[in-house]
Amino acid sequence: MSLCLQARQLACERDDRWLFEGLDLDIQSGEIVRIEGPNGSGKTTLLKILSGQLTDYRGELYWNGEPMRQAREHFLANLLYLGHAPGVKAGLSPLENLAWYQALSGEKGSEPAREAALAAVGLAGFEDVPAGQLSAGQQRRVALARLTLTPRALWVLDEPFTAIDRQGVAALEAQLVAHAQSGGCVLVTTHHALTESPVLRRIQLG
Amino acid sequence: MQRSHAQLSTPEMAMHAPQGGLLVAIKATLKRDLTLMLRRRGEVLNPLVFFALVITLFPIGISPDPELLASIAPGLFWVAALLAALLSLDSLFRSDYDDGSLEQLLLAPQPLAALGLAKVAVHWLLTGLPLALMAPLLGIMLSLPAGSYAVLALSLALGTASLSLIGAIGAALTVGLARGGVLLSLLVLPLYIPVLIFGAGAVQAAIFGEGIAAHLAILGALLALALMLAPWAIAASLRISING
Amino acid sequence: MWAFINKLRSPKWFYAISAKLQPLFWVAATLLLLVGTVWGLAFAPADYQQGNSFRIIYVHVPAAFLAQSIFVSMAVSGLVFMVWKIKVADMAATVMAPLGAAMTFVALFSGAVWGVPTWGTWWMWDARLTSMLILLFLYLGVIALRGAFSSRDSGSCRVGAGHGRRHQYPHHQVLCRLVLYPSPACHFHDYRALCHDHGHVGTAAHHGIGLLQFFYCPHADAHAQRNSPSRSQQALGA
Repeated sequence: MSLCLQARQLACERDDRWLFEGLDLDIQSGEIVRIEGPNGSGKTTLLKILSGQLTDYRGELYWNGEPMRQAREHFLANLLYLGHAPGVKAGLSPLENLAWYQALSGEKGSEPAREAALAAVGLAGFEDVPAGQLSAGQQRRVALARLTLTPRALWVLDEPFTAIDRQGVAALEAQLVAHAQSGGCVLVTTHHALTESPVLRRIQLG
Repeated sequence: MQRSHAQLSTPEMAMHAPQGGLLVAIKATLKRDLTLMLRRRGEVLNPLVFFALVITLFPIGISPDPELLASIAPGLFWVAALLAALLSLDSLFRSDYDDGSLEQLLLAPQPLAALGLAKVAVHWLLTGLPLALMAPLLGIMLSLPAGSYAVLALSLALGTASLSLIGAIGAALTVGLARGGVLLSLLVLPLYIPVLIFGAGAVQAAIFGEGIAAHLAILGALLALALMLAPWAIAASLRISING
Repeated sequence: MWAFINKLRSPKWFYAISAKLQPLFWVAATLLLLVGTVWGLAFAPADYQQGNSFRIIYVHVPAAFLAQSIFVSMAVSGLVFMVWKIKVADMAATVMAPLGAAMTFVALFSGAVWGVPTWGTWWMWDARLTSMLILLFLYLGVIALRGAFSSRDSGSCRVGAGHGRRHQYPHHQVLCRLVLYPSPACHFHDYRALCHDHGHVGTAAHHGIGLLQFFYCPHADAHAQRNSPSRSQQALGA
């Protein structure tokens, strides 16, 4: 079964101004879709609509051919969304943060798996430090560790490269491509220049 | 970040059917919130200190006369407990909202109402329950007649659970607003009145040596009603607050 | 019929039609207000017991009626908005709140003015007065919440949700004018309800009107009895 997110005649208005109108989208497995546009063109809003958070839009969303309203549960079980804020609790250690996120999706998970995921994002040795003491880039990496930890088909990433150093950016880019090539699908906004690749598609807003 | 390269040869990715795991999620949320609160002890202690302080103000402000104090004590305890619970409510969803984990909570494939209920349970465990346990101690200071202490603690324990549930609706509604604190009390206090009436009524009945069962039963009924309806209202309010 | 209701739920159509109807309602409201006020204050015979002070009911009772029924209407339109996502319902709820708060205040104030000659006091913690006061607070809470949201939302994306877009539709208060002042015809029934001290003839109806009243009144009654001074003294003196 391959995944497929479709939008038909999507439109959203902000302060009496149409951010986008009549937007038709087909997002399939094996793709990285990059949403482009100047500041304020509605990239984040579009991602929030496509990840099922905002509901006051016009038009229709379909998940694997089913209207989003009916397929919502199945959709959420296959979605991983990372927003502007990393969603990392300052008072908890990276390990505890990840444990909660795993439990939210209904899995108990295991400590070694979480440690491995943290090591994969370059946070080995920081597992038990309160996240509040980590730098902004490191906190972002804790959130990114969820990409490795919880296998989900659809990734929706809002500016995932923020505060990440150059090596981290290269590794994350490789991870996105690998995810697409293994049948997953990535929806991403970024001001960072992504290297051209056959799986990359662009959508221009504004 | 090398793991996914290994999957290059498999062009299709497995889809997850929505699975259970609600209990795992609830347990983890309870544990997470308890850990967080216990790491910030000050925030747990503040409402309790506030409660004790307010109770102390009344004998100073009104009169130290034991008879007078005993006659107004039930109301005093309940008003002070109500305000203490209210004060701590503002932070119930606030920090989760600020760091983005509330957004993630809304996207969890688990029912939001259940997860919200877990958060409210932690609030009651660390605010309402300690208030109830502490009240008899302060009861001595207000010359509450012997025999009414157990009722005082019991009515507070029952009632503050309803207060936490009702207040969480207001907290969820105001979490997206920069200065929601005063607005929160404006919204929630009128809804607290039934709990206040029956909570104070129970203690008063105990003082007068009358039957307390009716008051406690109604407090229990209010709690049952709040348990049934508040989680859905909290979930809906959170969605309105976060996503408009 | 169904097509008509469907049309009504579209804000565009609703505002077009209400703009046309507004002058009519203004005329009707002015006329009814004038007739009701003059008739009630000048021509209606004085009460055999309370003299002229009873005339307050021509203000007090409609205001109290509205205060409570607007609250119920707000609840109903809120429900309609949540279930069927009808935007007009949300807008209606928004504009009802200030009117309801004003009516509650008028009812409380006129009641206090009437209380001076009749009860010899401006205020007492009677069940009905207390529940009206709480109703006023509830209204103020709703208004404050709406205000806070609309000032926040001036920067966020919402497709035509009611609040925050009121400037576009200056005619939004139209329907409320219609119910501003129900004719004084209902005063007979409520005259008895007003005379609290002569017994509780009208109280059942009064209680039934607002859900809130229904909820608070019996409890507050019990509370008031419990707190009556004679009883406390008995208990403490013993």
